[in-house]
Amino acid sequence: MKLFCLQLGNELIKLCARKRTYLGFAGSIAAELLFLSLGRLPLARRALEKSFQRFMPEELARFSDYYQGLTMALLAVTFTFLLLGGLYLALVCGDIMAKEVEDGTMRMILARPISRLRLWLLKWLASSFYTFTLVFFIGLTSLLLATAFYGGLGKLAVIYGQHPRNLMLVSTYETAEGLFQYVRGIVLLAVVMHVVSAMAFMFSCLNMKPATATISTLAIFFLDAVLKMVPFFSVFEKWFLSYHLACWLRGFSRMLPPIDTLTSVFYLVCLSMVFLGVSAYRFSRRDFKP
Amino acid sequence: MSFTFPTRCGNLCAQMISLENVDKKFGGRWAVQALDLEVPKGCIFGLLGHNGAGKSTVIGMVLGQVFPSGGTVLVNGHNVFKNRRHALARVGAIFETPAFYSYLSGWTNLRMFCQLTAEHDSKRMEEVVRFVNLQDCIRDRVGTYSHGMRQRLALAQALLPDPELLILDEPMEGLDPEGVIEMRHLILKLNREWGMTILLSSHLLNEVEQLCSDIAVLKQGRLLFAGSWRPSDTKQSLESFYLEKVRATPEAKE
Repeated sequence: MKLFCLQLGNELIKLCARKRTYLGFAGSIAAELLFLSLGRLPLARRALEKSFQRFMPEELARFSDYYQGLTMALLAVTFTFLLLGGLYLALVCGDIMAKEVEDGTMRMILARPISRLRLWLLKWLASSFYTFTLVFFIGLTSLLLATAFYGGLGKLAVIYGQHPRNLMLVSTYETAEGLFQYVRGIVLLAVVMHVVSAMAFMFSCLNMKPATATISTLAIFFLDAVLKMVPFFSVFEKWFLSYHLACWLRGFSRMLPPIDTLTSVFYLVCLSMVFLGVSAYRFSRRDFKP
Repeated sequence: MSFTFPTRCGNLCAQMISLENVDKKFGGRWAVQALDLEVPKGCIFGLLGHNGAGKSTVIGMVLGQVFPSGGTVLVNGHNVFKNRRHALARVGAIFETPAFYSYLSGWTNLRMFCQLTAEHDSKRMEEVVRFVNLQDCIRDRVGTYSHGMRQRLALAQALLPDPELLILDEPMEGLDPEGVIEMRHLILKLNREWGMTILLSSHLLNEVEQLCSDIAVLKQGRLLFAGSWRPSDTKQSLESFYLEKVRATPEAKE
C-alpha cells in the first residue's frame, strides 16, 4: 500500500509539473472574471431582472438580494464549464496516457515489472484527482470572486430551462441553505464531469495521439449537445449525455424529485464504468512498439 | 570509481532468454515467424538485421511490451506474460531514444522509475549516478541534457534493479565517437566484471563484432543464423558473414 501511495504521488508530481495542467485553472479564472465583469454592466443586470420578472415575479422586489455572490457564482460556474470545463478535462485526461506513449516513456515504464492494470489504475486516479480539483477550484474561485464583485453572498436563485420543452425550473434559497445547495451542486458537478474524463481517458488508452483523444471526446460531447437541441430528438432527450450532465443544475430544483437527479448520476456513473472497462481492457492487451 | 552489486541468487536455468516457436503478426504482416532463440547466461548477444527485420519486436516481446501471436517467451526461466514480476525483476533496458520526463530533474526521474517496483534506495541511486558519471548534473532538468547524458541516465535507470540481463536497443545510435567508445567500454565492463548478460540490438556491425560472443541474424522476422561468433573460426569479417547470410535468403512474400 505504501508503494502504491508513492506511485500515485509520482503520478501527481508528473501531473503538477506540466504547464498544461495549469492552463485549465488559469483559463477558468479568466472566464469567471470575464463573466462577473460583464454581469455588472447595466445591460446584464436588466436582462437578469427581466428573467426574474418573467419567471418569479413575486421575488422581483427582492432582486438586489439575489443579484449577489451565490447566484452570480452559480451562473459563473455554469458559464465557465460550458465554455472551458469540458475542454480542459478532455485535454488533460486525453493526454495522460497517450502522451507517455507518444514520448516513449511508456516503453521505459513497461520495461519494469509493474503490472499494466496497476499502471492503468494509477493513471486513472490521477485523472480523477484532476477532475475533482478543477471542478472544486472553479466552484471556490467563482464564489470568492462573485462575493468580492457583488459585495456579499446574498440569496440563491436558480432558473433552469429545459430546451426544447421550454420547461422552466425555478428555485430560490436563503443564504445558509443556498450556500449548502451550492456546495452540494459543485460536488455533484465533480461526480458527473467524470464521464468526460473517463471518455477522454479511454481514448487516451487506445492507440491514438493525445490530440486525437482530446478532439474525439470534445467532438462527441459537442455533437451530443447539438443533436439534443434539435426538436426532432426531443422525445429521445433522456438518451443524450448532455441531458444527464445537466442533472447537477436540475438538482437545485424543488419541483423535481431527487430520483430524477439520482437516475442521471447512475446513468453517468455506469457509462463512466463502461469507458473505464474498455480502457483497462485495451491498455492491458495492446502492444507497445517504437 | 566504486560500484557494488549485491550477491546474486540467480535461477539455475542456463538460458537467460528463451523464445520457443514465437510468432507475431501486425495486421496482415508477419513481424516474427516461428522464431526459436536462446540467449545463454553471461554472454553479450548481438541481434542483427535490417530495418523491419523484427529486432525491436523481439525485444518488445522479451520485455512483455508486445504480445506474441503464438509461442512462449521465457526470461530467466519465467514466462514473461504469465509471471512478469519474476521474469523482469532483474532486467534493465535502454532504448534507441531514451525517453524521460524532460520537465523533471534526472534525480526525480530515477526515483520515479525506481519506485515503479520498490521503494527507492537513495544510497544505491547515488552509486549508480556516480557510476554513469552524472553526479554534477543529476539535479538539473532532463530537458537540458544532451543525447549522451540522456543515454547515461537511461543506463543508470537500467542498472537500478541490479540487473542480471541488460537489453540494449541501438544504444550507440546518435552518440558521438567519444560516446560510442565510452558505451562500448561500459558494456564490456558490465559483462566481464559484473557478469551481466547483455542483449544488444544494433546496426553497427563493427561494434557487434567487437563486443558480442554470440549473434543472431534476422530477416523479415525469420531467423537466418544464431550461434557463437568468433572471427577466427569463420575466417571472415562479420560484415561479409552478415551479407552472405542475408543475401542467400530470398525475400519472403507478404
